[in-house]
This record gives sequence, C-alpha cells and structure tokens, in this order.
Amino acid sequence: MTTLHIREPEDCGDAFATVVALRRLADQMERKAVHEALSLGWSWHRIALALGVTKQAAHKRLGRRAN
Amino acid sequence: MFSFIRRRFTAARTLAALCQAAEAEARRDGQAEPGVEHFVLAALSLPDGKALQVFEALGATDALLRQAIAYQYQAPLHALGIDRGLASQSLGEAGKSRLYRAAPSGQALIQALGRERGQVLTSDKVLVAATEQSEGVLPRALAAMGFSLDQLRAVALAT
Repeated sequence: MTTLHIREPEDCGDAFATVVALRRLADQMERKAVHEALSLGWSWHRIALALGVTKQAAHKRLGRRAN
Repeated sequence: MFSFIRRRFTAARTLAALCQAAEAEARRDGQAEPGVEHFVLAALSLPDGKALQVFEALGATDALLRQAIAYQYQAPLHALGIDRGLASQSLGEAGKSRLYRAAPSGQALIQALGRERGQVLTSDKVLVAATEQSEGVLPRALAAMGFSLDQLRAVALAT
C-alpha cells in the first residue's frame, strides 16, 4: 500500500496559500461533479448523501453555481 | 453643486462597470465571486486607462498578472504532489448568482472605494484601494511579478 506523505509548508503565508488552493480545487471539483450528476439524473437528496451534507445545504450552496 | 452630483453619478457608473468586469474575470477564473485580484484585473480594462498606465510604469501587463494569479493556485498544489494536470485544468466557469456578491476581499475593496465619496472614481484609485489588503492572492501574485504592494501603491498615487 502506498503511503501519501504531505509535507506541510513551514511558513504561515505559504500554509494559508496552500489551504486556499486546495479549497478552490475542491470547490471546482465539487461544482463539476454536481453538474455532471444532475445531468445524469441524480436527485439533490442523493447528491447531498454523497457529499455528506443535508439536501438543503447542498442545494443552497451548489444549486445555482452548478447549473 | 451640479459638479458634485455629476461626480457622484459618474462614480456610480464607473463602479457598476468595475463590478461587472470583476464578476466576468472571476467567472473566467472559475470563481463564483470576485476577489480583490479580479477587481484589479477589471480596473486594468476600464476605459480611463490609468490603472494600465500604472502597470506599464512597473513593467507589468494584465496577461502577466493573470499568469501570476494562476501560479498562486498551481504552485502550492504542485508542492503537495497534486500534479496530474488537474491543478491547471479548467473545471469550467462558475455559475452566475442573481444577486451581486463579491468575495470578502472584493467586498473590502468596494468598501474602501466607498470611503472616497464625492471623488471621481478612476481605475488607479482601485489599485490604491487594493493595496490596503496585505495578505492573499494579490500581494503574492505581485511578488511573483517582482514588485510589492508598496511599490504599486506609490506608483498609483503618483499617477
């Protein structure tokens, strides 16, 4: 089994920049996945279950952005 | 009296154009809400050309700033080993919200511009307001381009 070693940045500014970049990547992947799921007929209930959030939270946060 | 009203009207029109252009920059960048870096890119496209003059004086261009901004997102992921083309791959434009919403850094910039009520709003003033934010993508992108917030502010104020 391969172990993933993540070397965290030592500088605070670099650490925050990494967090921002990861968050942005996650947001973009999430938006794309939701858009694809909706086009495949997934319900918001099913998307919310997959993301581990409530249906209301998923729809509020991603409803307009994913369209 | 009339000149004051005219200034307020012109400033409101410029602010509306700035916000619209910043939103378009953000969406192109895959973001739903414009941050301060998108407002700076928007300022560079405003017809008065003053922000562009500031950038030219520093030997910079809007294309260079776009590259430097993209680098701020790619480099940290690359350092973590996320490198399968995903970091640089565009995952599509963000959807458009019905209400105008800016990211917190964009909101702070609009508030800073709002403090100049009664003044003519020109694109170089957007750059000056942007330099109030000492942390984030913009100062890091400027540093990658070889100059600091203080240098940008000094040249913008001298324009």
